[in-house]
Amino acid sequence: MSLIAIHDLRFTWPDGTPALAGVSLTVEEGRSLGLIGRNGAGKSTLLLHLNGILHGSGAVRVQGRPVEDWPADELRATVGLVFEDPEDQLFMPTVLEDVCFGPLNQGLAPDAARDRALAALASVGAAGLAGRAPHHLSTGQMRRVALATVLAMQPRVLVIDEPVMALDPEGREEVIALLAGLPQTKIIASHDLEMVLALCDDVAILDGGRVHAHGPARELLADDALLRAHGLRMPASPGGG
Amino acid sequence: MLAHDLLDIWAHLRSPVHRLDARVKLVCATALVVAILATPIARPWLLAPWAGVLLAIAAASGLPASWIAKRLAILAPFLALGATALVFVPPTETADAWQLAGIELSREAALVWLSVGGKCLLALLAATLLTGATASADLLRAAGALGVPRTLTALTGFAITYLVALGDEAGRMVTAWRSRGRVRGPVRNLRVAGSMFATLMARTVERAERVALAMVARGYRGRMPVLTAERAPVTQIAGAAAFVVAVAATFWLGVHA
Repeated sequence: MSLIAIHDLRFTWPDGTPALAGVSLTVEEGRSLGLIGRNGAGKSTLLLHLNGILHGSGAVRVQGRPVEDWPADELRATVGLVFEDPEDQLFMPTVLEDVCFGPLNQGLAPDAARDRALAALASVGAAGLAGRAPHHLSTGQMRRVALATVLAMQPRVLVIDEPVMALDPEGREEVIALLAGLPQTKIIASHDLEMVLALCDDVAILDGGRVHAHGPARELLADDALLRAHGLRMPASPGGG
Repeated sequence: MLAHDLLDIWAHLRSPVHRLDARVKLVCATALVVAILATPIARPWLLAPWAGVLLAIAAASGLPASWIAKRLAILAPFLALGATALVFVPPTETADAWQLAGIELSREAALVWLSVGGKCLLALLAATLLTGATASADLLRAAGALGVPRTLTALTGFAITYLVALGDEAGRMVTAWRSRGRVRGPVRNLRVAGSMFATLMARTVERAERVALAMVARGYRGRMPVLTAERAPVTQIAGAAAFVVAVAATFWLGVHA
């Protein structure tokens, strides 16, 4: 049984803009899937379906169970979603309170939530930021803390939208190393194909709200014609990673 | 990191005032502001003890006098407007008249101006010292711990966080505007500024939607969770209680003397 199974998922925004036009995908436990595609391909919209924030027609199953049948808090604890802009993800007055937000919503006692938050911050190398105001952090620090907010909920699946966007090369490398060390199943949406190659076992190319190719990252990211047909370009080292 | 860092710029100082628990500071400041506002309007000299206390706190806080003065300067136009209005209030009787630089003023009206102006100035000074010597996050947490509804403290927290973000975004838009040659003429400038403001508001709504999604994604169900804070040190609680009693006693003695 696949950890995540999506079948014929369709979604149209309230203003009539079609976003997903029949997406079918599976993700196995422990694997990492890169979702790639041009702007407006439907990547972020698809991610929002995975923990039940958006509901389209078709089927999204997590651990074999339709997302509609999951209690919302259990689903969100199982599938952790890290948003594209960390400024949107960090809204509490201090980093510690922000990282505690999820565990407290899961019903943890304040002391247990605090312990879990501190452990999550330590795991992303941000233990020293606990008392800081999120809007005083650098972009790289915000990315780490945003990741910690979700790790503190101990999800089985990490769904991450553009994890290295707007980072300098050093910050980018650090975040990639950090993500590579996380044991969870990962679904990463990004335009950064070198990062996708470094982190993902499989890749799905999304275009016009449909999956046009799904397979091993090394194969698909070496197919220049396929990538170009969908507005993408081959990473610098498709064979090596 | 955001460029518009208007808050918490002096919260890192390590003065005795900074080291006090935020709840203790909030209780003391509230007691002081209540006493200031309750001072009889006809006896502005009763504000003198509060002014003395606040000046002592200001000195102990280590906050720069120029920063405090800038915060207080916001009152200047209102005080000036009130002072100008005094000229147009005629004295009701001879005993009520005051001569100032050849102008006859109403003593009663002048006392009201002095009293209202003094109260506003001292209340603002108390708020300035409180916010200058306390990190905004600590202050919000303290307000929550003292019974202010969570929704209100959460909304204030969002306002602080996202006003800073909004200020930063506005700054970037102005830079982009300037870099493409700022249009001369007030009408055209106003049009550009108006559309920039509209764009900013639209982006704010979009951001609010994204923040709401991020909250829902981490299990938010309409109730803000809070971490229980550590207890304030007993000595500080006792000190705050003594301060409140002293303020109340001074107020009572002043009013009934």
